[in-house]
Amino acid sequence: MALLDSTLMNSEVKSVTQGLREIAESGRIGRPIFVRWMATFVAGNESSSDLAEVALSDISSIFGTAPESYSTMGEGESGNISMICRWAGGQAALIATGVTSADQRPGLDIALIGSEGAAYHHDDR
Amino acid sequence: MVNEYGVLFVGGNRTHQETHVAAFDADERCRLIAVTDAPDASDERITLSREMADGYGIPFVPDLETALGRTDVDIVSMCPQVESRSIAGPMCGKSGKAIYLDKPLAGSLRDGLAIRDALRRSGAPNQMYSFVGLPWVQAAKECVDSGRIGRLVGIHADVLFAKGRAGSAPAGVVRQEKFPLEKYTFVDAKREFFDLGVYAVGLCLWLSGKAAIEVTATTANYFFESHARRDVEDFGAVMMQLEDGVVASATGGRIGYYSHPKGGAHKVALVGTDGTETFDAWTPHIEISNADSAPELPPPNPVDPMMMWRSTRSSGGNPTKGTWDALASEDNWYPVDIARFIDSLDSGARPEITAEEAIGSLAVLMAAYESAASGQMVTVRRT
Repeated sequence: MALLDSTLMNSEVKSVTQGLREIAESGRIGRPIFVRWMATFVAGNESSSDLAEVALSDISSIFGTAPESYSTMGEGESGNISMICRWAGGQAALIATGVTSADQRPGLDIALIGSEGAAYHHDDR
Repeated sequence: MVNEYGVLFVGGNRTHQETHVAAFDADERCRLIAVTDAPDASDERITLSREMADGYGIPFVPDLETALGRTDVDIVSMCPQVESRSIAGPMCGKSGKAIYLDKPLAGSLRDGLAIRDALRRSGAPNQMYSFVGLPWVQAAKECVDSGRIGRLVGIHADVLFAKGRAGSAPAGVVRQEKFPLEKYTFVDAKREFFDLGVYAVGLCLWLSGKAAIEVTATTANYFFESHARRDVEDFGAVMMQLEDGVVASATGGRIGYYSHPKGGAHKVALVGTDGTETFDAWTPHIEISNADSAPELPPPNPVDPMMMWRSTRSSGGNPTKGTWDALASEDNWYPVDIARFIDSLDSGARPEITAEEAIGSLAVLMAAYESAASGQMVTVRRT
């Protein structure tokens, strides 16, 4: 079950990212400019640092390039990582992770904000 | 028998005073006394304050000191333009009257400290407007206090207003923040991270009960040409290291009317050692799908093109959106906060967000602007 949760989380990130990238490329929300990305995961199944790295990679694919700079706070031990990322084109992102409780499922909460609209994804699986 | 409080209003139309006065007017414990303004208020501001007085059938008192000295004034709703608070704020603070404070407290840490210190010396009860009395925030507080997510290690808050016709900001221009800040208020723009980020930052500090140590932040012109032309941000994001290892982040900004099915993201995520919970202003809600057309924004009103104020709504405002029917009221946020302030005056209890808490949020905002300007981590000044 632990491995399944982990696999599902990674595959979900991939598919949601693809969807968000297509929305960004379609122009439906104008220029993509900011992402708020929050993931919760089962303690012991994932590394918060790895999750944050995946998020950063996915957001970079939406913005089309790697960030110019980023800063990290928190520590992986508690599952609590926070990152602020800035791109040369002015885009920015906040990434955060947190552990689930025993009765919670892992989840994703993403807001992709564009200059003329926004796309939201929320999922507690 | 209920207490009756006479209320003086410092600052008038086209400020947040429009919502303050409506809420005080609706509270049966309050009696509207007069409107006045800051000693350095412009002729235009004086005209707008007179308009408010006329609209409520109460006198306009030209001199702030005279107005503060009236014996029939028990409460001062302090809402002059941000740029005028360095003079009017300490005058109100030392008056000994109970003070209801506009948010943020002031346009600089120095001005904010002057207000806070004047209130400390007078010992007068005071409260700054915030979201802490709203049901979703009270639920978040209950979550923290209950301990059910373990020890709080992270907190992430967003207060974004889905208002205005976005999409006019020039593409390809990356705004460089400057610090210290100068002007905040324009007819067609205001500093949105300052004005809205204060909610999200304040929630992080109040819910965690921790002070901020250092921050890194970014501000931007993402949405509106008017903000770009005035060289003020329409969006900002900050990451904060709080005491005891707690990490926080907050966003504040005006993102455009069509960018959210309701009023914009108003939410907070609490990360504990044993779980994570999220609370937001629009949950629960009922989602409606039907043949109604998407609401159309009216043409901009030249005196209020960003549709900020009630007094200009007759010429257009943000139409109601029909996709989400929020179960919690969207219209009572100011009345809830002001009723809590009156309750505290009745009971003698300390309000939860006083100038002491307000200065903490202001210190974070100022450090955030400094960080956005320098690109560096900035230590938050201890206050």
